[in-house]
Amino acid sequence: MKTKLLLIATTVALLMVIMYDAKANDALEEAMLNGLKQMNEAQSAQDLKNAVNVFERIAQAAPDHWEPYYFAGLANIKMANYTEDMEAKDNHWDDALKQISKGLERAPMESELIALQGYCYMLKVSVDPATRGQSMSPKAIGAFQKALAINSANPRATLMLGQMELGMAQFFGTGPEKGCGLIKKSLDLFDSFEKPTPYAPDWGKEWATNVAQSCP
Amino acid sequence: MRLIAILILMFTGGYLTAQSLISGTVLTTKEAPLPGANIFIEGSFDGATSDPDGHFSFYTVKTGSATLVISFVGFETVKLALELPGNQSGLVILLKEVFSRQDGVTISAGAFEASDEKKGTIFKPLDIAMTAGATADIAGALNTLPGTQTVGESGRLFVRGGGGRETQAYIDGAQVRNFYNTTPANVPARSRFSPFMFKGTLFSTGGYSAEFGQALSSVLSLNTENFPEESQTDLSLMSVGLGLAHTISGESMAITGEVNYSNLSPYMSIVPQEIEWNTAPESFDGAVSFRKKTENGTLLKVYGRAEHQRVGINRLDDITLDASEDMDIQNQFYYLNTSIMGTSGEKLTWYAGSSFGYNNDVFDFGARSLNEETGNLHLKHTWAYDWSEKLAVRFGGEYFLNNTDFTFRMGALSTSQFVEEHLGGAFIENDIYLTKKISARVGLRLDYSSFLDELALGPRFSMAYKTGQSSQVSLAYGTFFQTPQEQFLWQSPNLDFEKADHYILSYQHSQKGRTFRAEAYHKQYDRLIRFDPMTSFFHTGLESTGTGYANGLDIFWRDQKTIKNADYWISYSFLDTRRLSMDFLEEAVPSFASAHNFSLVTKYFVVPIKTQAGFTFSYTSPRPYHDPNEESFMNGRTPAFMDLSFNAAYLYRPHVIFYFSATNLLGRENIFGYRHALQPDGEGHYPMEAVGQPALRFLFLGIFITLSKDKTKNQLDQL
Repeated sequence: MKTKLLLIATTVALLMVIMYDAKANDALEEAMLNGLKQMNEAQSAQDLKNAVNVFERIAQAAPDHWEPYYFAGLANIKMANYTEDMEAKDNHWDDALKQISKGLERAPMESELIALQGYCYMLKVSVDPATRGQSMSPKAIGAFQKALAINSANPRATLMLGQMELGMAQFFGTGPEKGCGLIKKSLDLFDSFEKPTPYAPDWGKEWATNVAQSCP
Repeated sequence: MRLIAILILMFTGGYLTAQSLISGTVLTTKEAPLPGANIFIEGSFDGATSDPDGHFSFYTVKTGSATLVISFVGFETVKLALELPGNQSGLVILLKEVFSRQDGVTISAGAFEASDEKKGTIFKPLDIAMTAGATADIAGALNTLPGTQTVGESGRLFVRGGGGRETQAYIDGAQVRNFYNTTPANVPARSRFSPFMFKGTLFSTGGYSAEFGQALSSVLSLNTENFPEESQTDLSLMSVGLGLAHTISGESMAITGEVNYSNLSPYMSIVPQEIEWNTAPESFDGAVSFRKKTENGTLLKVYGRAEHQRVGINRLDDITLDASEDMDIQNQFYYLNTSIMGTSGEKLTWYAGSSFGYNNDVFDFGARSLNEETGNLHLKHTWAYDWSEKLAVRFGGEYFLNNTDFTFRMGALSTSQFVEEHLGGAFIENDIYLTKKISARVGLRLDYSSFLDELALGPRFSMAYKTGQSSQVSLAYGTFFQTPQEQFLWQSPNLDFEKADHYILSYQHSQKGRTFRAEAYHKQYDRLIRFDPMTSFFHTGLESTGTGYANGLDIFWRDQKTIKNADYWISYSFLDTRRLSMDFLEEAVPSFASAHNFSLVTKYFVVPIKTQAGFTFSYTSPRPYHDPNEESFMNGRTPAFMDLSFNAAYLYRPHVIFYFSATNLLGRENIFGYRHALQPDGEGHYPMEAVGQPALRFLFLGIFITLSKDKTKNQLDQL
């Protein structure tokens, strides 16, 4: 009887732990989806700051997940669109890079994080190509290539690498074939992309579709 | 069964929801509302962001003891203990702004810094390489900055009334003697190291840190690239030679090897020369650099270089300026630089570095020759400890061993002299960030020379006051010591360190691509070398009793903003200096000094043709020279120096660059000074000869190709 009781107790305890964990994951999912909603429906820098704060709260409460830092970074990148001041833009991108590196401490080989890092460098180049192009373009391209080496089916890394290639081709007056090839490939990858979690990064298809229209 | 019930109750207890409302206002300590702060229960997802009025409110389902966290970047995080459930409304939270060193003011007096990494620097490493007229020479590019005086026949850096030897160069913290290549007298030298090697440059025109000694006027501190990111091969085809470099870069180790050969003979056979070259300058050099980083961030850098050079000219002899003589120079230079940097804990960073240099110059005049061999060892160890965001201390010690061996040969006779000097140095310096607006640096340096048997104590002090969002006033003071030239040391046992005191007052305004700087200084020289003017090589009457001063004003303006794709800077230096030193009979303006120096450097990126083009205009006012045919001392004045140079880099493909540069587009016959014979001719007249440019123009054409896995890399950041 005693052993039976103990067995039941253990089973119940175990069940509870699993349930608790599931519940925690539900809570995480709910919080993440809430943050994503705030980010995607943001109408102002203040709204985006709210989203950043939501993701930072999740990051401290769920120390095993990289996604909160990914989206805190992405929300910071979006904040840069609300200002015309180059220094202010830079500060947002620098904040994003800090968030991303915090994410990378948790998941050093996360293809999405590395691609987002490359995106920050790419944006930084775009405001001052003359002085930053030479030092930062290789950094951006290196990040996209690394992201693709880890996960060759990452549609965002493929898209952004294609975008860089198009920029270079335009500058040097060479053909857009290579860049367009990558953009088209990214469209296929977007179509076959399956989110590993409901709150995994899944943006970029619209961008790829727009760029693809200018391709022959 | 009761047990199970209890268990179930225990585990579900946590799930029972009891909401608590938390609300309040976040203010700064100045009671201004702080929007955007993050307010949350530690370890939970529950929280809110403060609105434009600083208000926040949210519900939490947490129970028991909890911690409310209020955080905002740039402010001290506040934590409050709460018992939940239980409403908390009307909380008023004051956040105190934290002092971060990044917000503090960096003292700008005397310093020009080029870096890609640090914010707020005036220069990028690429600026140094892509300055027209500099022909990719570090000193040439820095000569467009205020505080420098162009001395065309030397090519070295002359800073604020100081001679060429008063600037000391460092690579990765360790000294480089013989920084410039060896050339015949009055043929300008170039720095041996390519500007493409360096990712960070600090050029100080005075009042520099106690870390640096053995320099009376200026310090040039160059830092090599920490870690090359990619494996690549670089190929250079130039009108003056060939170069090949290959880098292998791994996760934690990288190695680069390079070989370069240059020979100006084909070039000089096409482009007319003013000098009669017996042997056109020819050099062969190789370098290897090795990098290793460990997981805890320790970085080891090793750089080794070997260089052989030959050059020969025919010129008028020194004694009578009448007969011609051949002068043949052979130079060998070896240099090994090792440094290691790391951290111990969060607050202590340390550096250990060493350099070893060997240089051999053989000046052969046929009937006579001079062979000069120098060996220089430098060991250095520094530590930096951060007491707090507001106080950092740096300290360290160094040791130099300088050996010089001269051998003179005249026909069958020869004589040798050997000088060995042990130098010890120690310094301590505090960086104090008093407030966001005021910071200070207080340091002390101790130098000891075995040869001079002298201990010298030099205080250093500088501070900056932030006068506005983007402007500062700073001042610097320091005492600097340097051992006299080796060639004098063995001739007298009673010499002292030469000494200079610097006083600098500086104003800088820097905002979004525009920088203005004005700096006034006073420099007092003491204990300079003097000797009997009637002696030319073996001196008598050597003593450390010379004095001098330099007063001046340096103005700098750079604008990268007003014109799209264009960048320009303007430098103006005013200098008033006089000395009583060397063979001077009376206090006079030295021949390397000029009262006015002006440079305009422009760069423009022409997008449709993928070309960066630039012009540099330089002006140097007349310089004094001594004419022994005149009664008064140093009374002659050269014509003013003027130069207009051009360069262009054309990006043909991402990995192929064409580069062209030309100096002296105006074709001006610049004269830097006059030589005079040491003996009068038969009529009692001293013959004179103008010292001019080795050639009217220097033209350069190169193709630079980079082969890497990533085709977008090119050598522009190395040009």
